[in-house]
Amino acid sequence: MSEKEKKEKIRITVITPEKRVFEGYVDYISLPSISGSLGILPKHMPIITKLKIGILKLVNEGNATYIGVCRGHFEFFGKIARVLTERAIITAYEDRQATIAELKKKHDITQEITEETKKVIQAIAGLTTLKK
Amino acid sequence: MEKSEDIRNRIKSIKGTRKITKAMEMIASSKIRKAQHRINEARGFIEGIENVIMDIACFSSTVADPLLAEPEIDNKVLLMGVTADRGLCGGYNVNIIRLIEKMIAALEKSQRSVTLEIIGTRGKNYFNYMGYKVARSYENMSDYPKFLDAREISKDLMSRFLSGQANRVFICYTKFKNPAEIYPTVRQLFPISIYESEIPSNILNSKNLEVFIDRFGRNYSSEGNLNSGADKVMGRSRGTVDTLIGGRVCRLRPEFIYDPSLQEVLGSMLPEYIYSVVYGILLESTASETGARMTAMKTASENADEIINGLTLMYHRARQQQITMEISEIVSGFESFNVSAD
Repeated sequence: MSEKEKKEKIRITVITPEKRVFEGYVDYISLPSISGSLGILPKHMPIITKLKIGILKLVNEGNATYIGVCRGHFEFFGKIARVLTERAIITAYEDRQATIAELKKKHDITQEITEETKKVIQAIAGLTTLKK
Repeated sequence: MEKSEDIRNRIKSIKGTRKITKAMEMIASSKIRKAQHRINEARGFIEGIENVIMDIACFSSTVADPLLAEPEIDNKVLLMGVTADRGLCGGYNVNIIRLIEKMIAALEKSQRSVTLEIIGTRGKNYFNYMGYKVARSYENMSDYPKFLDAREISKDLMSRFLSGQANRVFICYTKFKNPAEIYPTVRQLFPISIYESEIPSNILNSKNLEVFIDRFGRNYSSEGNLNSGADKVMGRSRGTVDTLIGGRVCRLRPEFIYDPSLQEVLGSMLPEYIYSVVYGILLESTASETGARMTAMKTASENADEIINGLTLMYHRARQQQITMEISEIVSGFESFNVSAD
């Protein structure tokens, strides 16, 4: 890709705490913002949004890449876009629904566990105060 | 001199130990590469979040969040110490435990009550043995810390800070630079302040710790801050995002659109930042532990080699002496036989 072509494109990085999932130049981004689907083209106004579980679509010269993201944030300014998310899976078009289901499932499980652990901790705390 | 048999047995046992230390060294050196890689990935994420928060701070510095607010009463401190689950890693555990003890002493000297929480079996055992009250301890995560572990720990810390059980949260961990350079460090987690919230270990002594605590005791937000002049004029409240700028020069940028709202974006961004910071801290501690273990095991293997060399020399000497003695016994026996035959 020539320097001139790069200038016309958006440079996007998709980062999770565990690894850098995607890095590259794209023409168009569609993302699952908390208030609905959002499309970003070059020269879009600077924006910071919250993401919900969904599919991030990156289009470069007609080729689309789909990345399942699990909550997080999206920042765009100038020609640089940054997706910060807890978990991201690169997926195919056919697997989009399955990816969302998987992200939701994992997410729910962790939520359940934390809720359960919290309840247990609260119960133990209650018992120790009773004992005293 | 010892019998050659005994020396041979000693050599054998030391060779056995050397095999173990050599194996541990090799395991540690392969683990450290992975750990370094994970740290780099996590650093990228933390930097990303820091940059976004900085962008918010530069343009909307009046927005406040309870996680940024300096406490009005400042007498309850929660201290989190990150130690290892296993030993045999040189001075790693000793150094961090010493730092935690110094920190407790300095905090108690400044009339604050300290709640102690420990990550790692070694630290937990030590502080229980020494009679400190460990409020909560986490184990079995120094080998391979996961993001979810970090999230659980930081959620707990955050709820304690927000509910007022602790006015300030410090974390003591070992910063990783490279396997040979690891530094025990103190960092303030809550209230959040991105810059200058750490003190490096080369200035760590009891006096500096007191200065460090004292500095945070004052209204730290208006120090070294670009907007500090404006603060006074406009009478901004404490706990706004401009505490995060901390003397850094903002790049000029147009204003951002926030979706759904600035307050909400910041409200979800700051916990995310803390999760990733704690995750980074756990990773750095793991890498430091592995690094310390690698160096310690390397030294141990070298020492074992030295001892084996010394013992081999001694073994040969003993063996030669034994042979000489046997020969002289035979010769003298033969001589006496000849004399009696004459």
